[in-house]
Amino acid sequence: MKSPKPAEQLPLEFQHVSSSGRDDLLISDPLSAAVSVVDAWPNWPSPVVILAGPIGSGKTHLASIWRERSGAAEIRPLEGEGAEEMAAAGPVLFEDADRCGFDDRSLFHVINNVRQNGNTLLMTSRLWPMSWPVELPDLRSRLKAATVVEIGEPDDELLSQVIVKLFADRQLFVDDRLVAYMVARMERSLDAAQKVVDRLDRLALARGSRITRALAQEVLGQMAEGDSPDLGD
Amino acid sequence: MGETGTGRKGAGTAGDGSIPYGNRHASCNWTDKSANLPVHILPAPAGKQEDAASARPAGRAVESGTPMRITIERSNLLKSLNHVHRVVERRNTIPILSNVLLRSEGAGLEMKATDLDLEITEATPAQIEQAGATTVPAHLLYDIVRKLPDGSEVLLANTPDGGSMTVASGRSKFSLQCLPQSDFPDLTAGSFSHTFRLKATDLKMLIDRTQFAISTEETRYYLNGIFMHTIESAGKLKLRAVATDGHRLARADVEAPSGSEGMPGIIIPRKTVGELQKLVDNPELIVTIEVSDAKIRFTLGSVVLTSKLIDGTFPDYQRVIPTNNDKELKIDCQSFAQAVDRVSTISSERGRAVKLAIGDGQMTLTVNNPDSGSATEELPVGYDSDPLEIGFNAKYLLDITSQLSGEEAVFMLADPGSPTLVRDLAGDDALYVLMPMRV
Repeated sequence: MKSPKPAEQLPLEFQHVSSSGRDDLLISDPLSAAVSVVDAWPNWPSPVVILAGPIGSGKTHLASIWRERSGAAEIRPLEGEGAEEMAAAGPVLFEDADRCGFDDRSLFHVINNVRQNGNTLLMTSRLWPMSWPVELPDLRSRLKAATVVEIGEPDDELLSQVIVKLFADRQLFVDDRLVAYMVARMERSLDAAQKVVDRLDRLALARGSRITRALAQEVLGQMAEGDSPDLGD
Repeated sequence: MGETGTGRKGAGTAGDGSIPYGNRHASCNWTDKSANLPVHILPAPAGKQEDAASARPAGRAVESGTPMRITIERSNLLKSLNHVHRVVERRNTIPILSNVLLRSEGAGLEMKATDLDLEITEATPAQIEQAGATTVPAHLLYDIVRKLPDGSEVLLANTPDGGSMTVASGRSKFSLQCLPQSDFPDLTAGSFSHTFRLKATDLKMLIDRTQFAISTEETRYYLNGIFMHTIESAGKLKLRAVATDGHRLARADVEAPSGSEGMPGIIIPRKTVGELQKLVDNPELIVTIEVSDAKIRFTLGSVVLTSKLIDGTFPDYQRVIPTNNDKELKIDCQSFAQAVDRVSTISSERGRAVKLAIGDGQMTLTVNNPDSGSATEELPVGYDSDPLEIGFNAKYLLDITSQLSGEEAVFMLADPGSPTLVRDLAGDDALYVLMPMRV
């Protein structure tokens, strides 16, 4: 007979702030091309640049660095949102283009205004622009002319650095050996890194314990089995 | 709740170049204080510090190595040593930190002890035959004085070479080894940006209501203290104390005293809070509090407590205080606490969960321990919302009910997985948030 699951304390759901300054950016090979483009602004190869990369790969972090540097306004190219006018006025940023959705005509005019006024547009997306649901042929050709910079899957070094940063964002400092242990056993994606760190943080808070190898093993085991964590998120 | 403010503390750095609390973790050096030695140990000033508290005895500067000879009433010495010696850790890798600094000047004896994070100074009247200064083992001196007969007078005299100090009273005589007073570290306070005065009763209330919730888990150093800050609440400026261990949160307010406006949000370490609590018993006392980004100083009559602050960011606690919990439960604090205490007798040390089944006007408390048995108790309560079953750590329930000053308390509940808000029915300037257990 299976013994009943012991009662588990739930933790308070404290939020944390991710540091997103230029100095906080972790640069490794998969990210270096994107960092170069952001750092090179305003000397861009074309006025429209698209950062494409998987979830948690640093697109938003890079976009926020660029927005800070360029003073860009954030837009959503939908009818009546005033995106076209903003694109005529100065640099503009459109985040999560594939997921937020846009109006073909509106985005087309945004790109035209950017080009005509010598401005710049940065877009971020998980998918490459040829996979976006675009029906307007003119917009399709405009997007083809844009510079697409891909952010690749993380290597071990980046994954380690990201895990250390994610813990540091939570004011937690973990042993390098524990990070190496996690990197060697986890799914190789930045999204997985965020999930592992978040679950470890919550589980340690719930149990009032330090972040140990045993705890990491438990969380990685749960994730490998596809279990929802005990503490639900 | 009509409140403004962020509940955050800017990461402060010690203006004197010393390593503040939080940063030590970055180098995984929490317990090894010796690693901080070079930046902490400064020679004690020959004379008074510029910002020394007025309670310190006035008088001429004392030179290092001057033999001291004073007579002091045992009760005065014991009272001050009782405050001062607690700061001294039982085990120290740096020998001088085991000692208390005794400095006689003018009409009094000043005693000082430190652990490099917290420093306490207390002045007490004494008859000075020869002014001087030395350091002797703090716990040893305290134990000796404690065992001397009540009402006796104590002679403290050190040898001309400063190598030892005689403690004599009646027919008892002790000789204690000394370390030079010039080696005694000084917790340089630097300048303070805010100064205000607070009634001891208010300070005691802020501490008493929140101290129990301070985290003891050292990885989360930013929770190892009480977060104190000012905040606009219901149109008034309040001085607020908050503590949490991630399972429960305690918050207490008093009216913000003049001078506290705009003070930085600070995290006062647990040990400092504990020492402070023992010093605020006198309800007549007015405490002067000086604050900077990195340090805090409390002056309580003749006692001056200076402490480093925790260099971390306190979490945004406002977000975890529920505002839309709609199920109101009214309980009689005493009978509830007794019932929780009774049923939790059966629980194991590790699993302290008690299940509350709340229905119309009645609550059933249940504890199940697979190893020993089960317990239930019924309790009449004020409740007319939908029935609810929710689990809590019995110890946390007892901790909170022991803090409630009124006879009746209100629990505002939402569901078995969400935070519960607890406060006095009579209305008090304290509130508590408690996370349930999944049972």
